[in-house]
Amino acid sequence: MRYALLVMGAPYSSQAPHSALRFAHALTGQGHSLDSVFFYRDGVHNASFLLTPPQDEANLHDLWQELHETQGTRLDVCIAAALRRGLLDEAEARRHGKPGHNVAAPFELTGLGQLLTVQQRCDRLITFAA
Amino acid sequence: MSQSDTLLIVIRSAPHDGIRLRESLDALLVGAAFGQSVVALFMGQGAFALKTGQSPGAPGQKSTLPMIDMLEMYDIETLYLPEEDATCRGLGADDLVANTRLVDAGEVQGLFRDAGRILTF
Repeated sequence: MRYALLVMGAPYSSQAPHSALRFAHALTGQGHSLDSVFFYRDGVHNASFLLTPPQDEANLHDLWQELHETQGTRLDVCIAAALRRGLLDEAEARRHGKPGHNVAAPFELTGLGQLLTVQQRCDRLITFAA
Repeated sequence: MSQSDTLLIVIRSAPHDGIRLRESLDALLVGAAFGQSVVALFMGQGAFALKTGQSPGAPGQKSTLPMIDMLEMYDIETLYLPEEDATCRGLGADDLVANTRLVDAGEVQGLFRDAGRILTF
């Protein structure tokens, strides 16, 4: 089956992204495909490439990126929720006159409409709320 | 799963619980703006979102009531709320915005059964 995940919890302060990643690996391990992960609310913090946990802890940003590289999963981030929380890619940083950015491919800033499109395209959308 | 193309959006956040409610209502508006048939069901603490007479200007936060009032323009005319969730919070029909419809447990089941897709916030 074709799956998508909605992740609404921040890394480390919420269990949601960690559980979502474990679910993602279980899914693909059983032969299902994981089309997309959509990050909303505090879940947008997963997209920051500046996440720097201690070396003996999992780096959630890097684990999402690895999922994209091995499974081709899209990593969509709600742009309104992201900007509000200080997550910007290079183009948004330039547009808003900010001195730096912390979001880059394979994460993509996109509208909330993308969540509805993904849900239409997939057989199942599983929510990991905070 | 139902064949209907109705999108049921379930909202369980009270106003001023961070921006949870605002970001949930955004999803409602986007769904409606995409031309989908959207059904709004408020549950639990979400009952307070429908309370009339909320004053704006809670510390540093915008009021969400104007967004609730705007839903009708987006063809979201009925705002469903389980009657039990209202009464246990001391809210009667007179306390709630006019387009609230109080429903019993059976009707709530029906909303879930008839929905083609569901998003829960």
